[in-house]
Amino acid sequence: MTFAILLASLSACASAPDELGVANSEPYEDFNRNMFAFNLKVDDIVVEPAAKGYLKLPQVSQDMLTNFSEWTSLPSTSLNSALQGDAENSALGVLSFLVNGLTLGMADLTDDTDDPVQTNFDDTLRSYDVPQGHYVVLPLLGPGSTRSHSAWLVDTVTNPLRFASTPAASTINTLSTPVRVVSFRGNHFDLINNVKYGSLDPYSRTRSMYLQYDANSVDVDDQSKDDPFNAFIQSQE
Amino acid sequence: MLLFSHKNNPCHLGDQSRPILQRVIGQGGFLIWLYAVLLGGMSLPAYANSDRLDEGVAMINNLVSSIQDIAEQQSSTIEVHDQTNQIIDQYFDYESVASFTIGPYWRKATPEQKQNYLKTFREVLIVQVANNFDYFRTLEYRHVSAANKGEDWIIIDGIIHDTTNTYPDAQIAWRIRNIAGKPLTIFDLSVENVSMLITQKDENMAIIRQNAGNIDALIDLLSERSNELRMARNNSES
Repeated sequence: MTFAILLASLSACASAPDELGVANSEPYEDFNRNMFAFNLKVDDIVVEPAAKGYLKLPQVSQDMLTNFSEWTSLPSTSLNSALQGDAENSALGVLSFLVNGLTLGMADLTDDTDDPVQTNFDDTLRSYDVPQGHYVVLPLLGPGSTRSHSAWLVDTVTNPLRFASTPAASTINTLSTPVRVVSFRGNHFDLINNVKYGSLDPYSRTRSMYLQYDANSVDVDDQSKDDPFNAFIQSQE
Repeated sequence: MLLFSHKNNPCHLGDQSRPILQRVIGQGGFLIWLYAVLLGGMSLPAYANSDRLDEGVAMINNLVSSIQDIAEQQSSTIEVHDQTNQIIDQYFDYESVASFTIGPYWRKATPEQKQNYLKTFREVLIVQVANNFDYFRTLEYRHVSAANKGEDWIIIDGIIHDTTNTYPDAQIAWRIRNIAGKPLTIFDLSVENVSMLITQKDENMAIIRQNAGNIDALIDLLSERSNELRMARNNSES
């Protein structure tokens, strides 16, 4: 967990949340906005047209591509579940990977109740109470935090598929990222376009949604967390 | 992917187990609380009794029915706008909601800016809602649970189901302002744990900040957006 400790120290200077639970202080805002604008251009030229093509495919083909992208992340899910002490999910990940591997992950042959919960190294770091750090937008990777981007790097480097020496494994590994990007963009086409074209400031809207989702994804019912709306009521009184 | 990366993002709806788990925990937590209160013989404060929760659930069900009625009618644009306006006045404390969306800048605004903002924000809200009534036609709302959150709020959880199966089910939560002796009013709606009001506030405040604290810049942008949305609606009708 040396890496986790390093990240913790990097994240220690994370800004305190404001009265609404979303940090106003954003030291990299200019950089982030430039990267966001760059990503939007890439989306205009490459990803959105590819996603439109994806949506023209028959539903069964879309499902196959989505299943494939989820299947390629299963080794990472297994590894991280083990790191989080969740042996059952880790085993389910291995089982799903092997069973669905019969169709290269394009068909989901396992029962829905046996599907593992997808997880990654960011979840692992969170489980070790590593702070989120600052909000950062990176070219091609999109929005995240210093923790989640660092975790993505670890997930990529440690993905067991990288260590398989067969040509098939190498091809799968190469295809997994573009397929994941296009199927994700296609599966959330309206939502993303709504933010992209329907917002007064797509950057701040994306940032707000990302930070809220990340903050609430662990335990939304945590009563010890400050309710951001109470500050508003107090200011009215 | 470029807008939202990794698995922990607002668009990632594939991990369905987490919201379900949260709902189960939420319901269980409320039942345990209720059990403890009843066993302990404590008197419930006026704002926290079950009548108030029932009232909140009924209010949301009525709102959903009203929206479905409007969506099913083939009304003119003007009629839809009028009906949306009535819904806002009937179910929301509009001035509080609007003032929340610009945070501390509300206190700094002049009376004239406040009036302009209230008017323009309402226009955008109405046109946005009215333009999406076609979409509401295929949605079903399913009530899940209701619980108090602190002394001032009631949270009502539900599921939005798309009958065309184009979109996966979405977990939503209505936040209702609960002031003793006053009618309940809707304050916020969260979708998959993302608050619409906080998102709007963050966006509005970023625009004001980028314009050196000038609220009029936001009002101008909202006014432009309202005109664009009206034109888009008119073009789609013609």
